[in-house]
Amino acid sequence: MSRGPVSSGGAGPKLASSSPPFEFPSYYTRQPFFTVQPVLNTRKKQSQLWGDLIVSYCRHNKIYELNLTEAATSPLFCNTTINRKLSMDGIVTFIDDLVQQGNAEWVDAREKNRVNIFWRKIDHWATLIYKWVSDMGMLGNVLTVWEIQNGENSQGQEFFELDTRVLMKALGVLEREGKAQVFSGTSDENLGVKFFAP
Amino acid sequence: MKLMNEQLVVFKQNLEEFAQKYKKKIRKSPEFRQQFNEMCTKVGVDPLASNKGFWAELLGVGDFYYELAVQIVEVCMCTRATNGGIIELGELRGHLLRKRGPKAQAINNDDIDRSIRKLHILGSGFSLIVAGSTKLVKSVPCELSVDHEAVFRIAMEKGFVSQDLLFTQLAWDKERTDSVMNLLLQEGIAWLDTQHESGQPAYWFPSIIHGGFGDEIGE
Repeated sequence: MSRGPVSSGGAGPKLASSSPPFEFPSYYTRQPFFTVQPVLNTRKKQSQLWGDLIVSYCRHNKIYELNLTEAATSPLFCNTTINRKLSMDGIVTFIDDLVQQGNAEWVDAREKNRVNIFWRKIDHWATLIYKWVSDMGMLGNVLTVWEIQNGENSQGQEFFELDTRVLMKALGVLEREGKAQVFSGTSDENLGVKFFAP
Repeated sequence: MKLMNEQLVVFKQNLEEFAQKYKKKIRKSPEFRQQFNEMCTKVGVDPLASNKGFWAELLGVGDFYYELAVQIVEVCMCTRATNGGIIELGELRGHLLRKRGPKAQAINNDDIDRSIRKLHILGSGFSLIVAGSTKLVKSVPCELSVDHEAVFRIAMEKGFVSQDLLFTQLAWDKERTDSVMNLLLQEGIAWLDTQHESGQPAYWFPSIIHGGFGDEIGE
């Protein structure tokens, strides 16, 4: 597998600088991978490969929001070793597919330049958080968003230090399922959340 | 004629004794097995003929090839989405080795070749295409012509094909190139590359790219 450099700034807020560089998959070094395939079945396979790559790249670098104009020239979409890059049209096409799948959401649905990448689907975070609350015997109690994100008890949990926007979406899912209620406050981190037994 | 028949009978008996004596080695060593298979072919004995009968029982050879055939079918099905149902023999062998794991009986290209010929006889749509110094395993029913095979030969050598390359090597005009390549594109056997350094569209073949093209087979 060929190693690629970690995206340098630009493509998102946080960067896990202490982790090893992202390992690009074998197909990242294949020339035709960067041309949107004209044959439908082939494009479907290509879309799946791009989707996998985008999600794992963002997961590795803890990128929650991708700015496509910047990302277009980053190693994610641009492989200088083989002198190929995915066109902006191609980027938008494959991100649209990710949106369809539930792994992404346009921040600006008209311009289509900024997109949230959910390297875990929102539903998955919702389930994890609820289970953690339940396992701790805290159903019926109120927790703050900050506690969920950064508390002692969340260390070691997958959602530890989860991006606030993503966390809020997950709580939104639990609210819709009647499993939680978010109380208004002055800022996201201050918000209280009460969890209910099913 | 009678003498020849007698000799053949004696030869077959010798072969059976040989097989009995070297049962283990036949199972373990692909090279030895290959030689043994060739000997059998010369005498008109087919160890793969059926799962029952002397040979299969004696050697478990029938099972070995049957199992291998099933694995070949699995690999071809899993890689079909990327290579359109054409995979180079060495590439197939790599997948098989990973799939079978380090503790399985060793296999070589001859073993794979035989299994595929068996599959072909069974009418499963498998066939072998000679491409330069290697072979391609085709597991889809689409009809490929000698033109397509010519393209594979060039692709094996250069890694890709383009209009210029096909013109230089085969004197094909654009119409012929387009017609031949369109089928390969449609079948998913070739992928298009519009950023090739030559400025022309280039066509690449996941089937002959070693190291894979994003195939997860739970190896």
